[in-house]
Amino acid sequence: MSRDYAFSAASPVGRAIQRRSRMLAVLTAGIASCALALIVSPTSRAEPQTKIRMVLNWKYEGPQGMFFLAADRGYFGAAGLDVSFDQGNGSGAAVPLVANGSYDIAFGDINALVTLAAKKPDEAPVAVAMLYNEPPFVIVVKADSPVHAPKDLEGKTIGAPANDGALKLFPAFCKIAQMDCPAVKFSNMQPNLREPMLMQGQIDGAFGYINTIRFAAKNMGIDPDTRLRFIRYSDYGMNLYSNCIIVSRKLIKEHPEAVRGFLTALFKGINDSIRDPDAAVQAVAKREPLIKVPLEKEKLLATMGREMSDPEIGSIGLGAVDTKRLEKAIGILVDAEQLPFTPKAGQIFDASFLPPLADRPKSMR
Amino acid sequence: MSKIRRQFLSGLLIAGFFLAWQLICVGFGVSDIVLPSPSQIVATLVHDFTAIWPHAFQTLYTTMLGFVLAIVSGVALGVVVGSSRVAYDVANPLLVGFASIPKVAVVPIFVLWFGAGTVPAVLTAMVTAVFPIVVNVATGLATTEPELEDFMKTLHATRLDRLVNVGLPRTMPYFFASLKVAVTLAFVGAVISETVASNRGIGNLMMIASSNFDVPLVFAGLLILALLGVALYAVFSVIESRVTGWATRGIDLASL
Repeated sequence: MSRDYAFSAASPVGRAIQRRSRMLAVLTAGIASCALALIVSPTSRAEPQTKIRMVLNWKYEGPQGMFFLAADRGYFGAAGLDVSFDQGNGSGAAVPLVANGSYDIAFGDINALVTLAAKKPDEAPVAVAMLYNEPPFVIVVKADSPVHAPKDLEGKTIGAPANDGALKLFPAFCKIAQMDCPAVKFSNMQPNLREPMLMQGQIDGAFGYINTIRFAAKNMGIDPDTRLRFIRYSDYGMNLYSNCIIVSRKLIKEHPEAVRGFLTALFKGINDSIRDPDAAVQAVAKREPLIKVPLEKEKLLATMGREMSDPEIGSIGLGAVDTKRLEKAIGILVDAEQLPFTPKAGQIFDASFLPPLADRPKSMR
Repeated sequence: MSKIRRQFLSGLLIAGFFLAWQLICVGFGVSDIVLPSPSQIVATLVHDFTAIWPHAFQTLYTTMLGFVLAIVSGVALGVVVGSSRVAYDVANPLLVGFASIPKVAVVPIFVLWFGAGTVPAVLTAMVTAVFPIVVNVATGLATTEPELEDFMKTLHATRLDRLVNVGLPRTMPYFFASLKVAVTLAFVGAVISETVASNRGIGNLMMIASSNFDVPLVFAGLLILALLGVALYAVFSVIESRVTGWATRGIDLASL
């Protein structure tokens, strides 16, 4: 059989080959035109917006409604920002993600920021607005546990998720509470296993933020008020700040107006959430329909009423910090973790991007 | 190309890879919280070796234990599944279903059932490694030359005789091929379990290191995992060549 015959339309093989090459040509044309269409299709907004990637402190939850409400009501857009949100894996874990450039803004723990600033001052990001001004750090035990005071924790095993804020502050806590620090054993686990392992008795206690634990227990069908007991760090004089808005040095340098715009939009969202908490929770539910709305609303109100309501906001407004209090907190951390040097309050917190006092709430009710 | 020459080129490739990495880190001034350079990683490894070793040993121990359990259960299951066409077809969908479950999703369940630490790590290693072994043993048995089987039948060999004298030896090349894959999978399973809930192990080390912003230590952990993985792969390659050298006799001769 000659090659010409084999490949021509006269032979069955040739027809099959021609059919296949035609199909391939059509397929290639199809893919190329789709690609072309995607490239030249008009974008939804005409003017260029600054893209901001933000990482949150935790999985979708009621308190984050403040951010989502601001996004849904176009406040970020009006400030020329296109903000994308990613769920987080702990307030402490959010900080290095801004430091290494994965994200521009984080909602994370200022104490983790202080630690990073003391170890890597040139690369550490900066806090620009304080949101959780009451320390939420606790060690939770079951209500029927023999542990009542911190000293009872000696010899016990405490569940310790790697990035947890309360865990990192434990060296300071055990010193202040005059415990035998090495006598306390830790058990490492991912944060979502903390409450189940506690209830199963695999650990005697666990580190965490009070509202995260309370509402995780409620989600599990356990009433935290009767079945759990909390040892609060704030009861022992550890008047630390907690979650804040953290932005990268790069963003401050290249787009300072974006940082200002972000905070202006955020505080509008916060004011809206105080007036209309249902709308805030709905904004979360839009992104995660599986959340239990009544529970998340309760969590939002609990966070606003407790974590965000230190009496100092009555005079300096939400978002600002009391410099002396921050300096004392930094001192506690440096001492507890034996950090190489003591960062200045001004290095950690930059108040120049906050909206004016009139635009920031003085009460969260 | 002789074996020595090939090994030398292999070493050269690895050295080249690390050299390129070092040059990129130094040349572009990459911060060590984004990507540490190989020199930094090795320095961390040497400096913290006494602290790292117990973790490395734990990971190795749970991996090997899980792996041995995977071999025992994998061969047993493989023999059952591969013993007949009917068994193979009937069991296959269920096996594939189990294999498709990402093991990282199963670890929290193991932790709640058995507590944190060694047990879930061993179980995850076993569950992750078992599937390739089952598939390969079953395939090897199912594809035994029928002529050999028929010959044994004419000698009135029982099913067990045929399995032990023909089926299993014939399956050895497939089995050893799967072992090399399975041992790395067992590693993956053990480390995943350690990152979820454990107090020892390289996975745990990496979680704690990253929470302390000590990225060079994270990468040191990764390097140890890679080295252990290569070492185990090499061990099983040697065992394979001793046990099943007869299967690759054609290839070996041709490559001289």
